Amino acid sequence: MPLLAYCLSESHPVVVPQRGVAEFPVETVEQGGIRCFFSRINNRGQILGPPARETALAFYEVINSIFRQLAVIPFRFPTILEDQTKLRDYLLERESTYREVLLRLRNLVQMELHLLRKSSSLERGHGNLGASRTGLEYLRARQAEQCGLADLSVALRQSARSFLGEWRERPSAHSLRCFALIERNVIDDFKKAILATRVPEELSVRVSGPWPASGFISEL
Amino acid sequence: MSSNPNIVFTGSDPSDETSLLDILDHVLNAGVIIRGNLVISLAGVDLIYVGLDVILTSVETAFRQMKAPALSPKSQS
Repeated sequence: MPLLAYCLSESHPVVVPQRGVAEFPVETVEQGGIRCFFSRINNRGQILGPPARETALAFYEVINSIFRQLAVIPFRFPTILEDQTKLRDYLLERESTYREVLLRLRNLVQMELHLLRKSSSLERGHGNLGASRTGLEYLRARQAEQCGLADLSVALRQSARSFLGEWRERPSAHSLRCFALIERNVIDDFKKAILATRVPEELSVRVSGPWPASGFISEL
Repeated sequence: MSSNPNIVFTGSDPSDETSLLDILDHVLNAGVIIRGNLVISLAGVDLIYVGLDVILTSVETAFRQMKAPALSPKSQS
């Protein structure tokens, strides 16, 4: 019978949610100190058909309920395996890597900071940077916008430096996403530190988390 | 918590639309991907890879497209 895999954790005591996606029971399997949470799926249509949003949220609820108790490595939705034998084979093959990752991330969570420009001069299409601008002007404007976001990232990182285990960034066209790895017990202090940072009027910061530290798993 | 108007905190409450987007983004774009023949197909479509390609626009649309026989899966790495 196919399985929907939710996440992995260390084999520490944990309260397992009873029901998962589409009300299927949540089960666990252990291999070499690693525990995998999954549901047996007897009707794939219930997983992959509408309402998909509710299904994805139910998937998240299972992971989050375990993540509130200990560090997890989530699987991406929807990760479906053929049967429990395949799942065991997979865990057997990767158990040492997963064990190392979970040990490293134990007690750590990921906070995300999305740095945005409230109104991009590159998108407005008027004024000095409007439709008549040259390519050089466009590139200069873009560079200026990116510098502003990068400067804010430095300021935020500096504010929260006491709590940071690691900091990563991922730029996009008109924004910058920052990922902070912090101890689970300093989340409130981290938020206060971020809140105390001066943010230029034209920029904004959206902070979310705590999340499982997926952005800091490079071993997989 | 926020008194700085330029800094917004979003929680993990799915009833909050902003949080919902964050949650769906994480569920669909973060996490381990199992590659290879452990991933099964549905209607001849590799679920994981198609999901990664189209999921950013709309979850419902993505799942509809997953089921569409016209879609051809990307080759696995």
